[in-house]
Amino acid sequence: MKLTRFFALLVLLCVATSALAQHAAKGKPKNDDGAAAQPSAADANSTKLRAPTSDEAAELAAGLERALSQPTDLRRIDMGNGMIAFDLDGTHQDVALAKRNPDGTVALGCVDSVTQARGFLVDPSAAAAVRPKQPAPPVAGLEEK
Amino acid sequence: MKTSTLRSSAIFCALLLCSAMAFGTTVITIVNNNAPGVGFNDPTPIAPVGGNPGTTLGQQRLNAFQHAADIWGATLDSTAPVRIRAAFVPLSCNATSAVLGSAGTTFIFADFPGELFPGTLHGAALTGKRYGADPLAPNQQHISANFNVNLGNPGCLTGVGWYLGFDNNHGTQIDLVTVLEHEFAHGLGFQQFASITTGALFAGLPDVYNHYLFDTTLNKTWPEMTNAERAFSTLNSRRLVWNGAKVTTALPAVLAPGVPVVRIDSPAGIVGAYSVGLAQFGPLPSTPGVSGNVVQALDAADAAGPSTKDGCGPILNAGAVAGNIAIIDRGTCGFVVKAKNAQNAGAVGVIIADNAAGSPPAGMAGVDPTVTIPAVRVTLGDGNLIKANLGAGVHASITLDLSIVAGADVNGHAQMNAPNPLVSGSSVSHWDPIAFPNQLMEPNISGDLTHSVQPPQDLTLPEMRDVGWYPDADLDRVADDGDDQCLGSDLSGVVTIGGIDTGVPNTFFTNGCSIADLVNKCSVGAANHGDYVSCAAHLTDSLRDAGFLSNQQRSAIQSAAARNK
Repeated sequence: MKLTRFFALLVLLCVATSALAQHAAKGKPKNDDGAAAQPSAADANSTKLRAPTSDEAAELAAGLERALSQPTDLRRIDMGNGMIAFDLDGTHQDVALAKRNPDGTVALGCVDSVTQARGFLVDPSAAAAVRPKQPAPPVAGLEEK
Repeated sequence: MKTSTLRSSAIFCALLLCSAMAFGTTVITIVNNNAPGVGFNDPTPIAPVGGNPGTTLGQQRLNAFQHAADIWGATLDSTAPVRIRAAFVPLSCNATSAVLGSAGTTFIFADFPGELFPGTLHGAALTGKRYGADPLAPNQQHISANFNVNLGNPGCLTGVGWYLGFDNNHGTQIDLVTVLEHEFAHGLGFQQFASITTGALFAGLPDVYNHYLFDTTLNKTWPEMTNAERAFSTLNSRRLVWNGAKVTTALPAVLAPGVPVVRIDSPAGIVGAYSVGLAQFGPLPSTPGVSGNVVQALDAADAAGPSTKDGCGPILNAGAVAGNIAIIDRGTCGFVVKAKNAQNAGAVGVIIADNAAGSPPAGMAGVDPTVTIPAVRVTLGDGNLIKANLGAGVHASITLDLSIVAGADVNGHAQMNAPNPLVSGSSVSHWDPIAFPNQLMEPNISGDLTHSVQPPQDLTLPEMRDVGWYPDADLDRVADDGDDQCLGSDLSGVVTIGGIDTGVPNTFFTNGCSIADLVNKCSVGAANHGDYVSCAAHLTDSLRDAGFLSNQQRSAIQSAAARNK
């Protein structure tokens, strides 16, 4: 009986894998690299220690729209065995960002929407280079008033 | 019967051995998606660093990717492979900020054998684990990851590049392995797919992660909520928690006790602990901290500040403030100015009431080494509540509450990141950044992380266990290295004994055993057929007495056991 079940599972898997492979071969966009291939934005003031401006943040966030989009209605793929799949096609990614704080330290953050990306890049309280260990004071980058 | 049993046992043991060898190991392969000469294939000579033996820039990058993948591979259990399509490519950046990289699952699946909850979405890698085999074709990948090839070059966060060593000795550089561990974790299962703005579920289906998001205000998990409730919950700071058993069990060994709060003792209507933002200046809240009546500090409405409650000038009611905790509105002048004025009036501590909505309360910057009293910030709502009760007499302390674990609620559940407004940071698919020590899956990827993904340093592995990354060779949803007392369960719909269909529903129990498993256990160690039949009779009597079998069903099993020779 176990052999029968095992064999049935194998058949099931073959059907499922084959269905998805066929789906992949139907000309779906292959470049689902999300944030890939965005142009680099150079800044002439490369040695100046300052936080990103709103324009710089907007420019950076604009390149992330596809990766950080969260569509909830992508096309459903029926695998033929009851199993269903959705090709996220480069959406629903999480994106790691870095920004220079006003004091020259660098803060890292991970976001999953463009709104949050903009927030991280321009909000001085959004992140810190090394978050405070409790009890310890927050580092530079927070609001002063 | 004996031949049949031996054959079954042999197959059973072979399956067990196979799965046992796979416990805690998953083969995670980095699929190099770069063209020759660039990214992972960059031939630039480079000296080995921090345990990374690569001698070209490209090889070191690839080694770092594989190292991060191996850390996860050594801790997760799956018989199915995981492939990560990876590339080092130019990503957006300028002199002051940069996209470091992105990652996530490529496909999501539902309605398959082994899914953790019925009708629930699972990422591609987790699907393979739960399904027991790769759901993708060999030329497809489960996770995609792209990282910035230009980081540290002039004009791309100039001078702050990737540290490619394995030893975490990154200094002022960005530790690639840490960032990869974090982003890979999203792809492996630390990720949800509902809209955080509308609350709509992906294709109307919950995902595994959603099942463990619990809102203590609504008293519901995310799948139980309406769209509007989920949208509310996304912003319900400190009240959206993780209710998975593995995280909750591991949490006390990972996170430390002690959360800075304003604790109000009276009046009765507002008694409780209130979240605070910490100041960069002055002493931090301690235990027992400072206490006293909360008094509105009043100053002149003048050029220094237009309000009598902004604390921007000398405090006029010093007699009332002295020896007590001053409350001052945020605005106009710096936090340090307000704190110093309160201190000069004799206050033992100061509460800054925010003047804009948002939670949790942010920290306060400023430098003044002469400030010697603790200053904390509360939300606009909490500030208004305190001020509205001043007439009744508010007594409070600014303290470090050791009864609460940093990053957990009072019930010991890990808090999720749910900032309000959303713009102030990432959300939901991370822990609340109040967690201490710093955790890998906080939204702020801290420089002091250790590369460990499991207790006692980190809660990410317990989260993975909660969402289904546990050894479960028989796909019965009971962990093979936990509560499962019947490895390799017979999960048939009806109890079949020696090829005899009894017609009795094969009830499955929470200890990982079905009725068929229990009957089969009778054959183990039975000296003869009589012993086996006697064991089956005792078993079925007990199941009948417990209400799991009727008399007729008991007889059917006993009869089949007697004929099973």
